[in-house]
Amino acid sequence: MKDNNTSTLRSIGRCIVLCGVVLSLVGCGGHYPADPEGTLNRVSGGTIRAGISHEPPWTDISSGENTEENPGGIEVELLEDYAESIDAEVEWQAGGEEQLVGLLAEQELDVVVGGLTDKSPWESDAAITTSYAESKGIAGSTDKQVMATQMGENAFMMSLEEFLLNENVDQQLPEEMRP
Amino acid sequence: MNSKPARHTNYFGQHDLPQEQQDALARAVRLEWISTVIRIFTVALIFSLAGSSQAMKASWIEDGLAFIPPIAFLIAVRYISRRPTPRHPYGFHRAIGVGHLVAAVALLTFGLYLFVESAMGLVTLEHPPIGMLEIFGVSVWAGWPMAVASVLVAIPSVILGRMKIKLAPVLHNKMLYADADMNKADWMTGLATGGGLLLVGAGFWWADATAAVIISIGIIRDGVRNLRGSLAGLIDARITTTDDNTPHPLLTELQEVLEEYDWVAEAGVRARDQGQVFHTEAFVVPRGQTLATLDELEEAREYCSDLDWKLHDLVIIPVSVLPEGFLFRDDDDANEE
Repeated sequence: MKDNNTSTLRSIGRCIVLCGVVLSLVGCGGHYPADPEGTLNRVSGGTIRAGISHEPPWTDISSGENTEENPGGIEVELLEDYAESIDAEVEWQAGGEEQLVGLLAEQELDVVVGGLTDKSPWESDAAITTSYAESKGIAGSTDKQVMATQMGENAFMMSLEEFLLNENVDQQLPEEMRP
Repeated sequence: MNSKPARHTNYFGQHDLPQEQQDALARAVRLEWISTVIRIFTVALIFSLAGSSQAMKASWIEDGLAFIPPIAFLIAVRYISRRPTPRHPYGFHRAIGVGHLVAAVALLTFGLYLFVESAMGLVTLEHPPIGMLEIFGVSVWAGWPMAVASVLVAIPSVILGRMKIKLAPVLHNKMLYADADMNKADWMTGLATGGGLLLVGAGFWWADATAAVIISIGIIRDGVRNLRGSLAGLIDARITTTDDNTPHPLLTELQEVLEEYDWVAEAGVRARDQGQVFHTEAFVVPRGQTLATLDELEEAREYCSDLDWKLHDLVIIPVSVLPEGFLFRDDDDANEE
């Protein structure tokens, strides 16, 4: 029993040391949570590489004046506003969802939009953001809108999520799209 | 078929348990109920925090599997209190052994699952995404509440584990011992999970999976140890103390007690663990090769079986020489195992 207690105490001591190390790392790391690949630092004042898959009204690359290089839609506007908030440009690349998520996993893209919901099957290949709006989906279900970012780039994901939540997209949706 | 099973708790197979064991059993049952109820809340808590994060999924699967030992214990306890029936003349004590086996397999399965899952994550360089979480309208990085929750849910486990582990030797219940031992180790799991999450936040994507690998190795070791222990009981290994470390002292004690009778020349004992109680066969060679009287045999049997509540199922077999095929000296087993 006594041995047990000393080893318990020693382990608790080790944990306190570990916590100290973590906190000091947090102190000098800049962002917490941090990006293992430094995405947020790279895109701030630079370029966000965004993948876009056609899914009106969220994303639109073909109707009216919208093109692949200069798309429109609710999510396109959101992402461009976000880019502006961190002094960045958005470089669009259109494609199918699977291809875009593949590029995201290869770290060729920073974010993918295309009317994704939290039911997205890409959960194991991409980091799905927290939902920033609820909308009426097919057959009257309630969809939770999300975007996809690179796995583990937590500072960038947090920064994007924070921006999206502050936009209160729910209230800006047209009446017929609300749940 | 007139032997309907009795089910009041102070009954235990064929005999009443001593007061101390009755109290311990009632307390153990209460603690396992509390464990189960607390688990329901912790699983709900972890599940609600897990969200889309892969990292927390293992955690609530673990909590799910942790339901198995307490529930297996509670079911087994219902069986062991039954009276032996014509179909089950030895009683239902082995239910404990079966429950122990079930719990061990659950533990091992989880350990292996967690190991493979986390090791794969490390090999494929999977960076765990942990984003934002809205709790009551406040947005925070999900890593904070996850880390706090993983430490918090360990606290009741550790306290309950410490309470249970004191009861296990009193009841000679290896299943309860295993469950308590696991609970006691939960604080390590909690701190490792929490620390791993905080390190992920600091940009060390491998920290969470590494913590999980370390935890899983501990769980696999527990699982293997319990599997060996429960199987040893089920295939009638020699009786041991509750922690499986040493041969049970009752073996030698019984032999000495029998050899003190003046009509006994030599005695040998073999016993198997039925879960909480032993099934004991004592061989005696009467002095001068004359058969002991029935009175002497009966008196000795009753005296021996009253030595300890675990010895109630005891038979004495008079023989002319100790049967070598059934009995082994202590020094025989050094080369085995």
